[in-house]
Amino acid sequence: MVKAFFTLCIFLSALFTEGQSIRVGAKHFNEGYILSEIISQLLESEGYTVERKYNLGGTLVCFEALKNNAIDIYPEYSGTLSAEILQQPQLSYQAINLALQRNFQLEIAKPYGFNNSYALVIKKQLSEAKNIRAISDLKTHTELKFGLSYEFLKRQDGWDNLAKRYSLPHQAVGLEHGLAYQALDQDRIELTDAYSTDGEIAKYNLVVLQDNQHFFPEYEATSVYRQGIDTRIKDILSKLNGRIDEQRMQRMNASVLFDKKTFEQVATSFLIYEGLILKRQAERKSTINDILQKAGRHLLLTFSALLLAICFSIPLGVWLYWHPGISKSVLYFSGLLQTIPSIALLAIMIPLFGIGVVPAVVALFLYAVLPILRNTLTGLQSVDPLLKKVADGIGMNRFQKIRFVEFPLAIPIVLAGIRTAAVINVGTATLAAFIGAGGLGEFIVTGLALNNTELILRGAIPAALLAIAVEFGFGFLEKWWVPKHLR
Amino acid sequence: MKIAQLLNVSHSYSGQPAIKNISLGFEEKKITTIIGRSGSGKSTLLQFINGLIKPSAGSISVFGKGLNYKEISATRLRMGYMVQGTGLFPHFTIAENISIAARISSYPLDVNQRVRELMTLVGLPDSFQRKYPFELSGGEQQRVGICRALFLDPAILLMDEALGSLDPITRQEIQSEILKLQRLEPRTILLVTHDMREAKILSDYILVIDKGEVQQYDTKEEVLQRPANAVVEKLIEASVW
Repeated sequence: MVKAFFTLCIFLSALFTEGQSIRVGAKHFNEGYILSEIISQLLESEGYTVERKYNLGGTLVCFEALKNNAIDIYPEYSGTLSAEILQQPQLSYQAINLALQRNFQLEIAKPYGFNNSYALVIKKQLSEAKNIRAISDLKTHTELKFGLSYEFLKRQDGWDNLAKRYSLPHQAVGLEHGLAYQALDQDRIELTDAYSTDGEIAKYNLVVLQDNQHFFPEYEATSVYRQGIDTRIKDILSKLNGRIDEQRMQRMNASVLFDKKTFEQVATSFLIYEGLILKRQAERKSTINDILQKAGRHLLLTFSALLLAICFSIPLGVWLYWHPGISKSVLYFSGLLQTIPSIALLAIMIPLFGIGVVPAVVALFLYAVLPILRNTLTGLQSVDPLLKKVADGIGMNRFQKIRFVEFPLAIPIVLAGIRTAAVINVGTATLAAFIGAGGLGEFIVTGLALNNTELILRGAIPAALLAIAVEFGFGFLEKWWVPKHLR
Repeated sequence: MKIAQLLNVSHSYSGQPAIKNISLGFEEKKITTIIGRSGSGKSTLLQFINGLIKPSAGSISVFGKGLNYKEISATRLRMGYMVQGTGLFPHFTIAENISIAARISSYPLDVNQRVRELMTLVGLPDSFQRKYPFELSGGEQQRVGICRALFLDPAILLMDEALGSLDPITRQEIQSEILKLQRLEPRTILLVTHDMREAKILSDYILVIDKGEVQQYDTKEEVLQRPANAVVEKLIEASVW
């Protein structure tokens, strides 16, 4: 049974392995999408086929995916590589590159030209009126009202140490980062912390104060890729070196967040403006086609995992029914699997199976096991003991008894378990987008990152409809399969 | 030679003795009624014969051989088995219920013909074949139970309070049915009941059991005319009411 399961896994993995092309990853936030799309369009303009693996859930997922050859390139920040990946904060750019080459056979291109670090921002008008250009200029302006995010107030590279370094006497009030820009705009505060490329900086006409004592770690954005990647690709990526400064990145972020342009459009405009591509690409696909394609992938994920879970859990349920001594421990273990948060389970899959469809199917499979297993066992146990005795008495062996009596009578309960597993899978599959498996979750994850409700609904409504359809579908299946008097 | 024999058989449930050192044999092609009060051990005794219960001590032999519990299914195919409440499989049609033995053994003859033959024998119309058990009355279901038990023409028929849940009139009809079948094709029938009236109607032999011990085992006439002890007497008296 185990052998058959692994063969099926290998078969599915082969089925989902797509043709060789350049796979570009992206972190699921606005700037990540824009930068990855710039890389993708640039490579496409040079004749490469690009597979976009966007919405990867954060640094860990992207980096593991790159390490495990599930993607080829993604944009990353020097400070993140230094602190989170290499666990050595404040490494120089060259030291980061060397450590990546030595430890992971990866390397980074030269920086794009902007540093997305923590920063202090004030209104441009105020900056000009009071001649405040750098953080050190604040010292003489003790009248300024500081409103800082709670996170910034607590961080090592946050307010306390910054105030010490620059000898700032100000008292800061804590507030939610999301409210800080508005508070600044309405003059309720005069200074707040920000990321230096936030789109709001451009929108609210703010300036980033220069960190002239280099207090904040450097977060230089760049492309990270495997050492062995085609040198032509490295050459193409090098065209981005030093092309994007903070103001440019702020404007691009603002275009997506506030002007409601798509990140594809923003990337195209940038590349045309820079003379790196000649014309705008044709729109890739219509919205309806896109939804249908993603819904198809969603169903593929859900039902391949469900099929695997059925093939695995029903025989296991029968076996446990025959060996009741260990059924409790197995159910307990599969119950434990159920308690792992979906996103954590998906993350655990990455070192084992990389990113894409296979780890998503394996994770969904693990979620589907418990409801089917538990219901198979309960269904078999709840068959009328008299009928079991009669089956024995008329000469059935235990396989015949399962085949002719116990399993057919357990079917309504087993089906209920499969139905539960299917509905869980349709919901959980939306998270599979975080590990590049596609599906309707892509709309949701992108929509969340871009704060775009329309995009979120484009994924959420079909996903909800699918869940309802699955629920009804199984209802009909049960009506068709199970005679009325046994329901 | 006896068709089924028990030798020094004892059995206990969770340390409580249920059958105490019983040795006896059952006559071939006769109806033997095993009778006793609830909890007397009569049903346990019957289930020794088809190996549903393995005794704690002693040995059982059927068809001249000691029971081999590892290959008990093959032995059970040679015995019909009926229980109280019919035990018909609710997901099978009547025809499928009757012919289930053909699906679990290599039945060489025409299955449909055998089903029709048995249904005619117990007076069930052909149109019932496609019905499900829940669509039949208790008496009809019990007749289906008889057909199922007789499908492979077993040498032994075990009936564990099989008529217990029927109303008096239906019960009488089924009893007549059994007697008719026995006249046509005699076989060994072991029938568990707590009803002495049923024993009087059906039995060739009566085995009275109480608290796991045999009180009397003899021909019907002998038991009824000369009860061995007060327990047997009480059972006979109770049947008069």
